[in-house]
Amino acid sequence: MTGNPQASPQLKADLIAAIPNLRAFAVSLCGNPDRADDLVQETLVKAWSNLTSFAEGTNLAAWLFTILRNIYYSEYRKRRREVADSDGAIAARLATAPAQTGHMDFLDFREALQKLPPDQREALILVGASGFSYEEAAAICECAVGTIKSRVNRARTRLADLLSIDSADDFGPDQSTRAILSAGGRG
Amino acid sequence: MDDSVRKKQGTARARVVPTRSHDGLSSGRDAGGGDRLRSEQTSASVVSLNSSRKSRPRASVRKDGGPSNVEGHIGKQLKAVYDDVLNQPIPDRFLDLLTQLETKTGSKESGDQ
Repeated sequence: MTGNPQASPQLKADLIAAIPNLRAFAVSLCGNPDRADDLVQETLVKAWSNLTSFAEGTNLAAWLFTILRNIYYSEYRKRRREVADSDGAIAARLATAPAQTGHMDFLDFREALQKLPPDQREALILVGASGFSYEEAAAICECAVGTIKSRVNRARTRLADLLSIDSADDFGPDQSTRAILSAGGRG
Repeated sequence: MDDSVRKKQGTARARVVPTRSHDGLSSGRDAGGGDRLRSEQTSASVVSLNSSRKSRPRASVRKDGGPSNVEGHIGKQLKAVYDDVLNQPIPDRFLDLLTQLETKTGSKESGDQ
């Protein structure tokens, strides 16, 4: 038996409503839109087959985010091993930013974001973009609230370095930032 | 006038553009305003998560003096990147997937996992 009761229409609607957030989280987390959607797909499948373990009325989004990040991290570890074996081919693909120009500061920020350690990146995204409280983020990441706070702070500091933001007036990537970013790219 | 409206929305939503340094992210001194912000933020996130909000893309640069700190700039760019995806329509593949899962569950009452 599947142990999977029919999802109530409400639950299905809630799942659908959570998809934009899951996608935004996934893209910010892994930096690759295609892979992000694969992550979301896996998350939905996994969530669906584990609906019984979700207590309706609790925070569905947090539950889904937890599933997504767990999938991400298990793949991340796997991929790191693969990358070592395959001449950085996957790394190169992962590092490919969306090709549109005209959003230069978007792209530079995205690049910088991907240079953060994943744990710092996810903490920053959860708190700074997804709208979770520190407590919720800590629950999602299965760590202490203080850990989340320090990860967010370190993420900020590192990003400020990468983007060469020193003050309000010195905002925006400049030549040297680009040089640093491209020099820092995998070679 | 537009600015003040936007500012309000920014606060009520999940901390869109941190315009103050005590937005609860930067230090431990969020005792006073922090609770208020947090509860607003929580309800805002519930709204946004449950209603697939269709917020307008945020203006790229605030004209009202803007964030006066590094956190503000980073927060703003992060939100821009995030919202860029958040505001996209849900791809059909996911709706199809859920329908598929639903059908499968229905027809395979005693199927395997």
